[in-house]
Amino acid sequence: MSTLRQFAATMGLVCMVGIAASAGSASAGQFDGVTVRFGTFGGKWRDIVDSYVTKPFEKEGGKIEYVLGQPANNMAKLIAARGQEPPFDLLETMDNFLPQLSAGNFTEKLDLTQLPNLSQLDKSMYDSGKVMIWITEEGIIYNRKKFAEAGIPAPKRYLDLADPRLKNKVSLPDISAGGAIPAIVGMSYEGGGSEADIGPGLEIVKKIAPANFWSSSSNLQTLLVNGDVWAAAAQAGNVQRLKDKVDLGIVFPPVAHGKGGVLKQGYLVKIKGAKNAQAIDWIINQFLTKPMQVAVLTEGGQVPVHKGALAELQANPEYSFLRLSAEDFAKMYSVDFSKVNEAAYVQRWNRTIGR
Amino acid sequence: MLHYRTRRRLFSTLVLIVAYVTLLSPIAFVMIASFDYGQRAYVVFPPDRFTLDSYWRIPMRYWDSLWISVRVALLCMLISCAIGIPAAIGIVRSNLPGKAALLAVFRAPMQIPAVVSGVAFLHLYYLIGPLLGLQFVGSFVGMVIAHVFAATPYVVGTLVSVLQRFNYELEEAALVLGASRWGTFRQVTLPMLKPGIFAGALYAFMISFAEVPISVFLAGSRMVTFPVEVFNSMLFDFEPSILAISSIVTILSLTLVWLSQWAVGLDKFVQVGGAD
Repeated sequence: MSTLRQFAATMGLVCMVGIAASAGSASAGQFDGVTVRFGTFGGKWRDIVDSYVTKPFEKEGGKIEYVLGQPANNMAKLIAARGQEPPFDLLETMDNFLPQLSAGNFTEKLDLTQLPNLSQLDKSMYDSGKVMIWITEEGIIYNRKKFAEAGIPAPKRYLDLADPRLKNKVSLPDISAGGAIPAIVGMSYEGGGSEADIGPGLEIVKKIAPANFWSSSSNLQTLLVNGDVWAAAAQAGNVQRLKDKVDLGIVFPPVAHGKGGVLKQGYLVKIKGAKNAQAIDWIINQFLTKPMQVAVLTEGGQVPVHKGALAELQANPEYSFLRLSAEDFAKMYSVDFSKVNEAAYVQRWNRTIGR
Repeated sequence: MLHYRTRRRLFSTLVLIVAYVTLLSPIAFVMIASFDYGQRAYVVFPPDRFTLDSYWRIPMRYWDSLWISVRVALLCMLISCAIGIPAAIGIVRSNLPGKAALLAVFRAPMQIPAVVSGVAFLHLYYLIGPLLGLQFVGSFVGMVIAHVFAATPYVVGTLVSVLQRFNYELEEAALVLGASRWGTFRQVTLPMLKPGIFAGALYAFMISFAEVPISVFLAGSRMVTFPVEVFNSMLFDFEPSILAISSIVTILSLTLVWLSQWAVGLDKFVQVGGAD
């Protein structure tokens, strides 16, 4: 009898453990079978997203499929698919595409109550249509050693790059590069123009007469490392990425309204017609976790938006060249894209600068 | 003073050396630089150290996209030949009115900027996809069709060149000696066209494998060709494993060329002259 009791007790215990285990596993996969298509950049950024967003999402049973490409290419796919199933559910885009996304009614409202990590963002960084996830700070990067050897003072404004001692040593962004609009707008304000009048900016480009126009970060970074380029209009992340190889400094030239340097912002938007809204909200929220946001800078070279991440990184002297607080962001200029006509910019660029 | 022939030989050798160095130095640069690892943002040349780390760390996505590119290129090559060979024979040998215009139509894809073709195919696929109940964008079939559009003109052009220099008397001799039309085609015409067919097929494979502007627009979450994968990586950030996988692809290509020489004989391609 005691053997029977022991046997029954053991079986009861086994059953209880089994029930507990199965109950635990049932709650772990809240996104079982869910696939979210995510339009984003490739390269190192994809690896960062993999580590800090995709893997946690996979632990919840879900899967992220990447539709890789520059925001312009992904925008073209979205426009072509208008009225049909979109090519992706969630899109990482940049500030200059927001007017187009809005005008084309391509996005869906976000349920901000499902994004608790928004509490770590400044209120200006999100609304019901979009959530900012990174910032780049655009200015002038320069090789401090080369400048010192040549006796050239650190540049303070874009026109300083027209110094004859910098002939064939300056690179500016090509009109197709992501950094083009911030640089053009910055130079336009410096020349007395604005977003609506880029003529003065293009005149400054002609005066600088750069050795080349960079079209991608990797292209510019190779030129900086080789010493072919001593100064470039580019974002501060290049200083971070090349810190072990080149002693780069960055300056943020005055732009407008007492502000210096230009901000470029990256956003996540939910695409209209996308399925699995809950999963998309979860993913957006995951982008705003502190580890992901710290990695945005430490691994990606871009500035995060999470207050806690910014505070942590601000305490690190390694990042003293960056502006890492809401107060600092307020001192930098954000492009007014309502006044930007990109097609006109390209035409004007081709006519004025040409090849 | 050197003899005229010696001077000419020296000059030819010098031109050849300069040509080889110009053509091969980028490949050599990539292969040598692939043996350095640790720097994520830029190419290091000459390497600070020699290591195979960038080869061991090639992400799986490059191998996946390489396999996709090989499959797309192989199928594109077969379909382009299936279209291009009869088209070339028909254009050269038939009495159709407007043959020049027909040849121009087949060569038209070469005149259209590839990025324009890419956008056109993107919109076309979204237009006809719902009508046919099929998904072309981001699919294997959609990618192959677009690549066939780009590659077929090279097959047609190559074979038209061969057929225009074809010695028809050999066919006539075979027919006179009692061979059937099919037998003449199989035993006389086809063997003489073989180098041209091989050259056209090789062009089609190369065009498809290296294609970027069209593929960028038609890529999807599960359909990314190798050049597009590399292109997307390079735009954001440089990754040393790109040099490693590129070196591997170069070695595989050279192996393929060597096998072609062993199997068919590459000197026959030189005689063909390629597409004009």
